[in-house]
Amino acid sequence: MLDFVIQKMLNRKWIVLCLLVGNILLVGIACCNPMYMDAVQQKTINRNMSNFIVENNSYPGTIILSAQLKTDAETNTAEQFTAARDAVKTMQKELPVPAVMEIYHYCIPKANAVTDYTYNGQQLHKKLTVGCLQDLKDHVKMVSGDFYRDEPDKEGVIDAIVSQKGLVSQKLLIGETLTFPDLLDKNGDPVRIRISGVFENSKDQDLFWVNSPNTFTSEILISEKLYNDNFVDYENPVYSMRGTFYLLLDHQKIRGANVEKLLSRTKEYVNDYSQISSVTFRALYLDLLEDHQTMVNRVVSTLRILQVPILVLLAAFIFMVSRQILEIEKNDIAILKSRGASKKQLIVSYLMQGGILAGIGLILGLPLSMFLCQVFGSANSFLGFVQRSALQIRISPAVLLYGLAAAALSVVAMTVPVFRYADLTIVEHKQKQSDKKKRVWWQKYYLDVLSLAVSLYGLYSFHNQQDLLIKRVSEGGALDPLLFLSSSLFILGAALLALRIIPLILSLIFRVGKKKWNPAWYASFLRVLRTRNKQYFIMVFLTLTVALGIFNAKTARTINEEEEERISYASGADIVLQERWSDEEEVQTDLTAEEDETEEDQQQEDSEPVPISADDYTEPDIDKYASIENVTGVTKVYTTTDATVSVESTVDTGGNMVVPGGEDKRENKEDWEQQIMAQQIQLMGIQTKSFGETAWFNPDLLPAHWYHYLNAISQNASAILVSSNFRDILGYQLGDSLTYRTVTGANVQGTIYGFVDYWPTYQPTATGTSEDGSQVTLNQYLVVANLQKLQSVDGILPYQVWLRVDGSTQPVYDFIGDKQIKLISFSDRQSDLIDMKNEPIIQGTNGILTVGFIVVLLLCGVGFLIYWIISIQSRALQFGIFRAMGMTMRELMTMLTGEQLFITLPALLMGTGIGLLASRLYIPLIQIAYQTSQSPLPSQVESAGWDIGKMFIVVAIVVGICMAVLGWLISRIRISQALKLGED
Amino acid sequence: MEKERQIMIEGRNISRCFPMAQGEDFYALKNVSLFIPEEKLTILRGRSGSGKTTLMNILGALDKPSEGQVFFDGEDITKWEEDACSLMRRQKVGFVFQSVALIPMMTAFENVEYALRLSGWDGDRKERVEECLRMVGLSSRMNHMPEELSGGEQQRVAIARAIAHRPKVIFADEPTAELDSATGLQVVKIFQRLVEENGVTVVMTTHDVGFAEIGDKVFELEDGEIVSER
Repeated sequence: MLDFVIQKMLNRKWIVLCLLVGNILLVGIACCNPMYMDAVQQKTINRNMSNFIVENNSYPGTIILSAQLKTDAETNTAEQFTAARDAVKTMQKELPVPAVMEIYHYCIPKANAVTDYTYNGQQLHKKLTVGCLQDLKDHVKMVSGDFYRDEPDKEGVIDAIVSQKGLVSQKLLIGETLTFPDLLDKNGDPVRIRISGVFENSKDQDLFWVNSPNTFTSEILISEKLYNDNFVDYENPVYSMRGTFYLLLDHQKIRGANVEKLLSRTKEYVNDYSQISSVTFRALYLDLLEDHQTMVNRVVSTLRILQVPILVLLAAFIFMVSRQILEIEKNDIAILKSRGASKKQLIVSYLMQGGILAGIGLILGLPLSMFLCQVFGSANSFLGFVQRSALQIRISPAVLLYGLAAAALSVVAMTVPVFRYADLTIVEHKQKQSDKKKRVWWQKYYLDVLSLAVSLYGLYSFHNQQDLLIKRVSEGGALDPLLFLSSSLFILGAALLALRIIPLILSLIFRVGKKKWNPAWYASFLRVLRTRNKQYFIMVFLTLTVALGIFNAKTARTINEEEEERISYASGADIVLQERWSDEEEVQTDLTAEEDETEEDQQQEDSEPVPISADDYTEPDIDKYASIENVTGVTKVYTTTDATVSVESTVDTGGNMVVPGGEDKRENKEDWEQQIMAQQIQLMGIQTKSFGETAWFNPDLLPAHWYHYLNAISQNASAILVSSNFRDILGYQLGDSLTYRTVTGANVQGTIYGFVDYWPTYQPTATGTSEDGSQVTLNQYLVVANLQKLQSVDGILPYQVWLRVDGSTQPVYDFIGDKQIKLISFSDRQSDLIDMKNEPIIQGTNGILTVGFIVVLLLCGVGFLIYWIISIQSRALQFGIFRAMGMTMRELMTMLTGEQLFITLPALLMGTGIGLLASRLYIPLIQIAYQTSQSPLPSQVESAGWDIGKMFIVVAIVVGICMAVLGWLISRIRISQALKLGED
Repeated sequence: MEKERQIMIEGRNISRCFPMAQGEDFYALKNVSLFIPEEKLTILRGRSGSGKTTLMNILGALDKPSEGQVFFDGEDITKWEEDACSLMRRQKVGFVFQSVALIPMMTAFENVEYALRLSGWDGDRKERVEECLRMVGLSSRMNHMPEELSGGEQQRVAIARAIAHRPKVIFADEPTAELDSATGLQVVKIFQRLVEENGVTVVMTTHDVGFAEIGDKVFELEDGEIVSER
């Protein structure tokens, strides 16, 4: 049986090969999704984790349990304290990620200490925290003095070590002894501690030092054994103490697969410990992974939806190809049946064939899938790739499952059509053959019209809900999958509908010149018009390929460019930096002290802001930037959001502002009254000439080129440009004068020389939270003035430096590094763009759109070959007749070329039309899914000119290869042999 | 000279060999020489495998001999290029095959008309097609597709197509093999009438001994050689 099946497959090697390609592609695409998601998840987790390390200078896998042991009779928390300590072990067992370290830190905070020596005749009193750290010895080296001993000396004095910072800030001396009157040893005497040495961390990068030795500013560390002996008795606790237990998870072992479990467990802990007041639980990775998970969900759902059309197309492809094969094999089947093969035998033989193909498909599909994932990972735009660090791709069980499912699906698709024929004998088969004139199923049931109608209805309803969609996406939700399906459905429906129309047009052309067509063209027309059903297969695929290709290209281009534009607009220039103009103390971060700090922050915010004065600052030299390689423009930009404008606003009787200056839009005027109030504005001071040369701005955004605006305000020192909402909401006119109040409190009068909707970095609206917690859109007001004018009023206040860089920005980094320039802020447009392209959703979308197109194209190519191979094989006799009738080989080729033309050309044209139409209709909606924040810029479907060019080149190459293969096949046909074929 | 004019086709020492898988060549025709008389019905008779179809294909320029020459209407067609043979076929020759050999996507009318298109017929094609179909008794079914016609009807359309462009010679390869004897006889009668009334030369192969009687000239083939001539 197996021999028979293999023999049969070898006899039809071309078609079987095509089927095999289909199978490999199916498995490859199906596996790609879980594989890519896994790899991307891994990559983003790793990146987020390392960003976390850079930004927070702490280890992201850290779990911190801080427990308070209180001794008050009512609230004895010894039990909770020890439970928290033991939890470190249980957590290690329960969490799916292995731990790299556990750290136990106990201390008695702020104990009274008295120095032995006297200063000015007085013993000094200090507050020192006495603590111990498990395994401390392995992680310190002594700067001076000795490490502590585990036993007290003969006089009962305990050794303690102290950090360098502690030594300085507590004014301790090595070798001095302190008495702690409140801490009693076993004998009931006050504990005496001698400072035996000063320590520092033994290695530069040591996870043990979750809090660096520098944070031990008031703590002395003694041996754990002595600590326990003297101060710890959980049965009858005497001393209040604090225990901080750290569990450090290996963040590199956090994988896509265990994130969910890690998160849910961690959340349980958070919940559990929120019930226990004496213990606080913190996992540094929690927020990070939660954000990550939201991102992953969004990416997964988006990518899955993007893949649906490809998968559906693949399954349809395999089904159609196996039907095509059966079309030529049904003779064989009928003969086998007549010779006594049972239905079961037939089906088994086809199952075996399907199994072999699917098996090979699975084996070769997995490596293909891995390759495709790398392609996804390096996709930078539609059909555009860049070199990036490779993704860590692995074959997870989920991937295998997908692969097997795809293979099984394919076996089913390859076997099901056999059932239709397995019951027929040769006689019935011949009878069936003559019954060809029925319509294709999708036309019979008007499925094309139906799917088009459904997709258009979807489009209509999505348009109506556009605002809702934007809101949902901005709140982190995923876009409705139906939207993507709707666009696929549109393309499919339109492609099928096109198949009704194409023959009508062809038929018209045929009729016009019926008498004049030369024999070859005449035969081509008749073939294409009369055997329509056979060509639907290839025409649908061709139309879909082109339509999807254009749609994908435009989608990718629009999403990419929109994002690029948004980032460029928001960054203002290639590099925007601000130097530190005054020396302020750097604040050391301490994880455990965080609560205290936030309190302080709060206080600072509440207190009155110190008035800003130019006297506090010294202006650095800015000209130095112009000398950096690649820097072609430098400009000073002063910007603040603390300036105000006095606005006449409409206030309702309750005193709430309704709308500034907009009373005319309201009906019940008596409910509102006018009130003068300060409206916060964004004030920007620019040097017009260099600003124009340096800032990044798309000139199309304003009605006139933005240089005209710059020229206008350069005419007059007090000339200003203001955002359009000054006109639209506040009612200002061109030429009006406007008084604004700067940060120093000076009032400046400006004359409005122009209104702008857009300006580098300017966001017309911002999303804020109103008092009741709902999101509201706030208008942002912008005033652009001459920097010189502002400086003449305020003095020279810290401004940003904007640089235009042609080429690499690396020299700027080098320069800043070499000169050790201290920066308050720095942004690099290029690296922001790269970051954006690295965002998994953008990267994955580019990847899937590209790979999707390539796959559809391959399918189309393979389908094209299958169609023509079958067509030529089954028409060998016909060619013989044509030749016998005196048709030359050249005419025969012309005839075939004509057929190709009539099938390919309309399909390509229709595909292009459908693709363009679908882009125009659906891209504006799909764009919403990618808006990370509300973009102020007007959205437009990008033209994607070159992308479509690239696509057609690829299509042309594939069609060309197919033609070459066919030409070779045809040239091998011999008339006399072909005619013999007909004699059997 | 008189005799020359009466010969339509002459075969001189024709051999046709096919390379076999085993390395030895198989000779379908061995050194065959024959004359096909003009405006006569010639029959090539023999069992299957005797080489009659191969011989006919060579005489009709569908195939080339390995050795020997074929003079068609006085010209050595074995020296011609493929395209010249094609042109000759479309002008001067009509073929009728054993199995149904109509172009499936064309109606009976269009099948016949197609031969006229190929030969570049200048006259009214419609009139000629109808005339030919009437000649084979099928004018009522001319707008049917081949699959809607019976085997005999299809064969008659094939004949109509073969004669439409007024060829000098019609080659018919086992035209009766798949037909019942009554229909077969009908087909042969059409050929006889063509020869008598229209002055066409007909070359027909058959394995049927019964038809040997009808031929003006009969060649008996066996294992690639002419064993008798009458």
